[in-house]
Parts: sequence; structure tokens; C-alpha cells
Amino acid sequence: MNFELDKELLFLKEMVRDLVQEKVAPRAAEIDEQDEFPWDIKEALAEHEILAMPFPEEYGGTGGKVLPMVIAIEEIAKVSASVAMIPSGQCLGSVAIILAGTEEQKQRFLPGLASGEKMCAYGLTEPNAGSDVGGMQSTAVLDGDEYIINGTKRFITFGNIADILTVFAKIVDKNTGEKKLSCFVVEKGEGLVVRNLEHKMGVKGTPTAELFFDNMRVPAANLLGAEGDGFKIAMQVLDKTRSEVAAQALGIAQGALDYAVQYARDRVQFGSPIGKFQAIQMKLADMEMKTQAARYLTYVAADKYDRKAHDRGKYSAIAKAFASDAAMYVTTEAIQILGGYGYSKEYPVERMFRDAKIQQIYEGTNEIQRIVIARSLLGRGF
Amino acid sequence: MQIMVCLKQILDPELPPRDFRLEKGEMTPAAEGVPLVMSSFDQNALEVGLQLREKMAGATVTAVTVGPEGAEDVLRKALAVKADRAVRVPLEQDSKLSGGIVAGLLAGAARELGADLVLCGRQAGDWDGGQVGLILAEELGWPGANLVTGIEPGSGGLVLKCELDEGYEVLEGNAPLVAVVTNHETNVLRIAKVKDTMAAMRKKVEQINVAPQGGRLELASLEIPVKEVNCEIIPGEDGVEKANNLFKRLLELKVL
Repeated sequence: MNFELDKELLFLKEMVRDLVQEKVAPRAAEIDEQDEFPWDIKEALAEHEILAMPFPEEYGGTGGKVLPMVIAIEEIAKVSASVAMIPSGQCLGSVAIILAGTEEQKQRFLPGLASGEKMCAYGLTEPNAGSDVGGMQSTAVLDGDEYIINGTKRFITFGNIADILTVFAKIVDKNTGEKKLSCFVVEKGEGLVVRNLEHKMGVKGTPTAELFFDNMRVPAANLLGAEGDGFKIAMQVLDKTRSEVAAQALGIAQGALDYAVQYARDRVQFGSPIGKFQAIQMKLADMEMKTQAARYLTYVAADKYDRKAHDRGKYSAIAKAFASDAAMYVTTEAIQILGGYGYSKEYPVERMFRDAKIQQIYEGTNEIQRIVIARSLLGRGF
Repeated sequence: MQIMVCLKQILDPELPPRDFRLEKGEMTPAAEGVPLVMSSFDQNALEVGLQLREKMAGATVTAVTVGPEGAEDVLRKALAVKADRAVRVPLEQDSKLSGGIVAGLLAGAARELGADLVLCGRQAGDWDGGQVGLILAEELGWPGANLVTGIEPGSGGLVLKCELDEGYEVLEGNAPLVAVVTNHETNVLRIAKVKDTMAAMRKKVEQINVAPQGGRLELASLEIPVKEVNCEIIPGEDGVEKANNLFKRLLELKVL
């Protein structure tokens, strides 16, 4: 058993680091401050094929494996969680097509997404259906060879800039009234209205939109899988992408820890660097332990997904919950180590702290992750 | 045209001084557990080679390094930015390895490869010796151009843009020649793409064996300077008095 990344992944890590240092690092604070989507960086991520990473090679991607993807996301998130969300968001929106699309649907939608020419979003959450996916109220009614979609989606990452969305709605049988949760590929067009953008605490520069579907007509050929496959598809998507959220959290934690270590070396109080004080050493050690544990859980979860291990869903839940809790802990302690400077916007750790919080919430709250983990232990019926 | 680019693996110049140590009888910087990178001027040379290849149909870029197996990492980085071939001249890390010996090894590789144009960085980022490029030209018996920032194909051969103190000069010449490259905003090494990066690990690195020769200058000793910082407060009521006291103290210390 070898817990080291192989040379190919280490090499990829270095390449992403080079890209991040050149393109992202100089813009990270500015993106947070201006809260505007960084189109220039999205172009760089597309040019260097980071956006192509979730996709199989036959559709213009680099392979679609999760482990390389989490390595890349971790590297980006060390510097900017907002930028790390660009490939994550692209992946989240596209996975349903990759997992459940027909060959025709894949050929039609995936190459444009892999090249980064088009952006994708995932339309699951609603004002009254967050953790409770089954409580979704959006509807789709078949009318000839089209579905008519109505409803509201909230907290949709990149909802306003996406060209293509994978949207969940309940197909309503006109005769029986029976409802079947289903998934559709929706191309931006008439009937889709961006109502407003959320003012978020963190991950600034990643617009989160409220979308309103007003009798939007979608070709019946855009249904993913069969009618009623929606819940299964939604869960399969999250099984895959939860490792990527874990990687974002891991990157944030590592970025904050690196900054705190450097600060502890340089900051002098009472005549010596604060890193010589055990109070600071204890904090740094705890931060390192949690970050390293988060790293290995994240890599294991990604590797299990790539190997199609039967317990991959459980491990992605463990990684997501642990890494995001670790990121919250580490960024909080990083602020404490930096003291007043940590609380100031002149230093990056307060941004990392704000960016860490969302990791415990989106793509399944950590409470939901714990339910997934507990049920894997207790078995069905709990 | 066969373009050969010489690349050296060095300790990361960003390495904090506290992590810098010597080994092998205090004659060699320790490379274990510290990041190793491609020397920065060599990166500029590689970019000049890649740009020239894009402008010359049929041209190829071969990345060459002298060193142990671990040095192949710099070749893989070159392959990731789409160098056509990668060649290592095997040589264990050796404190007696002078610029002249390295130039001799690279000259042997250039002959073996049938290179038309050899590109080198102006100096390695570790020792800053700055000798290899022009000694290599001498070894090969080719003209050598120094402080080159870019090369274009011209009507009669190659056009080399070279940096001067306040401006630049343009040289024209025919291959074979050696160009010693310096950094410029136009020759920052491109960043690889994901697929090329992953593929680079699977590509073959060739080996060319050349026997080292020469070495009349040998390293006798090496030491890390010990820095001592002493702080002395110069007394005085006001600036004039403090300045006078400082002046006297500096005379005492023979600084002035």
C-alpha cells in the first residue's frame, strides 16, 4: 500500500500550481473585493484544459477521472476558492449528462462544455427544497414533443452565466396527476428568467442566481435517462462531486495553514517569533493534523470513485464533511494566529474563513452527509 | 532544423536559506527533500526554441540535460510544453563538475543529435557561472551569440535579437550556431496543458552517453556563510549629535 501520489499526479499538481501562481494569485483578493465573475481566468482555465478535466476524452475532455480533478481543485483553492469553483461548477452541471445522457446528448452538449466555450450549471435547489430534494415543486408537463417547465430554482451557482443547465423538475402526468422527479438539459432561452443574484458572505465572484422557469419549452429529447430517474441522477451526481467540494475545502485549509505558518515565523512579539510559543505551536499542529487527514480522506474518496468502489458514496460524504469542517477550523485558527491582522481584509485569511463556511453547506449540508454516513453503518430502514 | 535546448535542474532558488544545507563532505548542496526546478534562463531558452519551431516548418526541439536520473523531471517539463524529444546525458552529481566539463558533454550530445542550433540559458540559477553557453560554442567550433532574447527565421538564415545595456542589437547568421538566451517579456516559458502534462510522464527519455573531459579547475571547498547581526544604538540628543557619533563609530570600525 502506497499513500503517495504517483509522478503523473505530482506533475499535474506542479503544472496547476504554475498556472495558479501566474494567473490566479495576482487576482485572488481583487475577485473577492469586486465580486465579479473572472472571465479572464475562466479563459485561462479553458485554455490549459482545467475545464476539460471532468470530461471523457471522446468528448474533448482529458479523461474525466476524479482524482486528477481534486488535485487540480485543491491547488487552485489554496489561492482562491472562488476560482476553484469554476471547474467544480462546470463539472457539477455536466455530470448528469456524462452519467445519464444518451450518446446523441453527449455528442451534442459535452464538447462545447469541455472546451469551456459554454458554461454549465446545476439546477437542483429550490426555495423550499434544499436538503429535502423530494420536496421539489418545479414541474414539467409533456406537450407534443416538448416539456413545459415551470418553477423557481434558488442558489444556482453560475445560473446567470450558464449556457446549459441540468435542471430537475417533476413530470406531471396530465391524466393521473402522478409526479415523477426527472432531469433535463436546458439551453438558455425564452422562458428562463434570472430573477436576482444572491449577496453571499464568501466565494465572491461566483454568481449565484435565482432562476424562474416561466412556461419554458424544452425538447423532449433533452430528458436525461427515463422519466422518474431524477432522484437517482441527482444522488449519483453528488456522489461524484462531493469529493471536489472536499478538495476545495482542503485547498482553503492548506492555504490558510501555509499563511499562518509563515506569519508565525515572521511575527515577533515579546522579543521572539510567535512560532516559538507553544500556544501557537499547538494550534499549528492541530491545523496540520486536520488538513492532512482531510487530504487523505479526499484522495481516498476520489480514488474510490475512479475505481467504482461500492462504498464510494459513503467515502465522498466522509471526505466532504470532514474536509469542510477542517477548513472551518483551520481558517478560524489562522485568523486567531494572525490576531487583528487576521481579521483585516489586508490579509487573505479572513477571505479563506468566509470561503470555508459555504463548504459545510453546499452540495449537501454536513448534517446530510452525516446521515449518509450513519445510514451506511446502520443499514436500510434508518 | 534541429534545435537543441540545454536545460539544467537546480535547487529552487525560492528555497528559504534555513533549508539550504551541504552534503557529500560539505562539497555539494543537498538535493534530498528540497524542490528542484528548471533553471530560469533555461526556461527562456526553451521558449525561444518553441517559438522558433512554430515559425519554421519541419523544425524540431530536443531538450537535453546533463545529470542523474532525477534530472529527467526538467525534461518531462519540456515534453509537457511539447518539446519533440528529450535526452539525458547521464552523470552523477559531482562537485568537480565545472562549466567547462558540462559544455564538453553538451557538445558531444549536440554532435550525436546532429543539432543545427543550440540554445542555452545565460547562466544557471544556482551557481550563476554563465560559462557553459559560450564554451559550448567554442567546443563545437560554432559562432556563439550572447544575451539573445528571441530568434526569427530570416531570408538568409536566422535573425537574433540580443539585449544591450540600453537597447538591443540584431544579428544575422546561419546555423550551426549557439545562442545564449537571456530573459525577456517575450520569452517567458509557456504553461503546459493538462493532457500534455499527463502525457509527458509516459513519453520516452533517451540517453546519450558522453565521456566527461577536462576539468583543470576543481572545487576545493564550499561553505555557507555565517551571518551575524549585531545591533548597536548610536547615542545622541539630536540628529546632528547622532550623525557625528555614527561617523566616529564607523571610522572606529574602519567602515569609512
